[in-house]
Amino acid sequence: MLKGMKNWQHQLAKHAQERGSKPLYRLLSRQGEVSRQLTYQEVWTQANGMAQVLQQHFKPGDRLLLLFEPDLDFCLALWACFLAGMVAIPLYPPADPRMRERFLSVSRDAEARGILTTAAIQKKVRFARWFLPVFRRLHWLSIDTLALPSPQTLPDVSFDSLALLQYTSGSTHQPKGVMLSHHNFMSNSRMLDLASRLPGESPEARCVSWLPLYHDMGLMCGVIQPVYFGAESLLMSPLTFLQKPLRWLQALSDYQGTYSSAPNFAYDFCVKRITDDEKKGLDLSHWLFALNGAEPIQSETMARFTEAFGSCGFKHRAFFPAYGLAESTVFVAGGPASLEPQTLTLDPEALSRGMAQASDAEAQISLVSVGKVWASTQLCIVNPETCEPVPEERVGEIWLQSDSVGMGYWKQAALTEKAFQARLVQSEGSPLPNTGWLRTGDLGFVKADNLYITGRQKDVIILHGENHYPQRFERLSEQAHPAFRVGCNAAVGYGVPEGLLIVQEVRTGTVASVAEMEQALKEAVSATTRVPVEYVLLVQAGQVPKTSSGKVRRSEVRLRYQKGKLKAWKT
Amino acid sequence: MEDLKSPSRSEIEVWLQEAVAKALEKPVASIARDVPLSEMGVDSVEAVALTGDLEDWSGLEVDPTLIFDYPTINALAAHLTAA
Repeated sequence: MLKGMKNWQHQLAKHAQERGSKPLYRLLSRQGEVSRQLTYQEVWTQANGMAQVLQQHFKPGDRLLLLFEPDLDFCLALWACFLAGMVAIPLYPPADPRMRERFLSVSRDAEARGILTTAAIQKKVRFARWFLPVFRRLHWLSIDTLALPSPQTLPDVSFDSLALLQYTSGSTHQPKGVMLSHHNFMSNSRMLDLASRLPGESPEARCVSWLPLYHDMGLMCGVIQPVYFGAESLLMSPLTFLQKPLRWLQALSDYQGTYSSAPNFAYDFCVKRITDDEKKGLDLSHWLFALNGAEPIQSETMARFTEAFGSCGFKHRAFFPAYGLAESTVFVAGGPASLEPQTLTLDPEALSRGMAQASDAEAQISLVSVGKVWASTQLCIVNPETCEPVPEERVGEIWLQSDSVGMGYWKQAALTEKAFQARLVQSEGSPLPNTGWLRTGDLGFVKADNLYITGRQKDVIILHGENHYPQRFERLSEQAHPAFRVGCNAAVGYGVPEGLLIVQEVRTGTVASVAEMEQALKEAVSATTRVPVEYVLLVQAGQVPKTSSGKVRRSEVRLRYQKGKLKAWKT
Repeated sequence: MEDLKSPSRSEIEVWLQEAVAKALEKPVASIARDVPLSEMGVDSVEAVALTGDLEDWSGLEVDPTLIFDYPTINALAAHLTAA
């Protein structure tokens, strides 16, 4: 328990009293105007009233799906769940047909009791045929049409109780819900607060965010953290940003935003798509904290961004490269914000052998530091095979313990034990605990108190900030042409920026042309996933390496492709 | 003042075809108007960005989700010019 730290009800009530009519959330339209606003007092009053209604319909601990467009209703519903002791499950917006399958599988996995939404969305989706099987079992509440009772002090929700299930993005087949407690969110807010402090007197924090609210980083930076800080949060839809990235920077300029977070690609996207003419109207001098996270961080990206927007008052030291994952609420390492981002240039050969060695040679790899860990966090870099700690400047799996680490995966005891209760093999007398470690599945090393991420052990392919799982691409690929061998292919991320590479085995004796088969593969994969296949290689039977148990070794495929060691298929 | 007239359906189609060709670095003639953009290799981030450029050029308001509901050049142009 964090000493002296009150729960979220106290936090909201205190701010409502102290900040009353100051805006907490403001929604920005595509034209950059405030289309809706909620003050601290309004959020407290409405969320509290909603919480009382929830308590009439549901029991504490019931799982409720949050089905919203990127709008302030989402924020109200979230705080209503927190105040009422219900478990919130943020979902993708229903407009996107790609997410239907995922919506259904999450709803089943969580054994959801109800859906919180708006009258407009309910009207839109309730008669949709794909929706019916879920709809029948669930209790619906349109939160914008409720008659709300006046606020009252609600029974305190235990700090250790479950607050939210964060379903990790991407996979539709095996949804994994990370169980996060009220305590986890408070602890993580505190860490981010410590990491982001700047010397001297800080101005009023004003956050601008277009990140999806259902995703860990957007949820924390746009919705939860502002309440911890007592800050103002300006929200816009991710599509508003993607349509014209200028709108993000324009909002930071117009509303004197001090705080904004985005994945690496977003900074490149701005450089690519904002013209010199458009830059002239921007003042980014108030932007003190530009978090770069959720994706591999490129020092070149940050340099390009500073070069492009330095004339608008953007300061390079505002960049805050960070590392995190949903299993640890979201934030793990970054900062201190008062320091410039650190970069190491390393020898790629040594790095491939797990050693972080500085290099002056021409062929080198630049790695950006994601700073240090904070408060209660213990970090250990571990050999993932032996589970023994490795020395400094050696690459290993990142293991963590902290008050931000979640309670496990919902209803997945075996997976939880493996990932959240790992046992460290170490000599006696070590100050580190032996048990209770979170295995992140990410690889990295520590040098001079700074953490560096070298890669992901998991096979997630990150394209434009979206996580993709290779299995889906592989299944589509093998079915794209009758000449393809089933179960004999691999989808991996490749290149910088990362693009999708598919290596597919072709049956011996096939007469079809390479061009015809490549075309079929690309169309089949892109039609379903909307992801372009950047690289494709058709190979002879047996070229895709596998483990003894028959699993495709994806990272080995990537390595062999890079070295030109895969035998291309020929007629 | 120049008369600010909205572009016609065929003007929008031509503009989209050129914009997609530019995004994919392919010749304009190779861009089909009746094939979903995603199948030609335009990812969803690029597709949404395209609607932003279309807004700037045409002066029309283009909802970014239109590209999911009207995924081909023909369908999008037809929708935008429907009365």
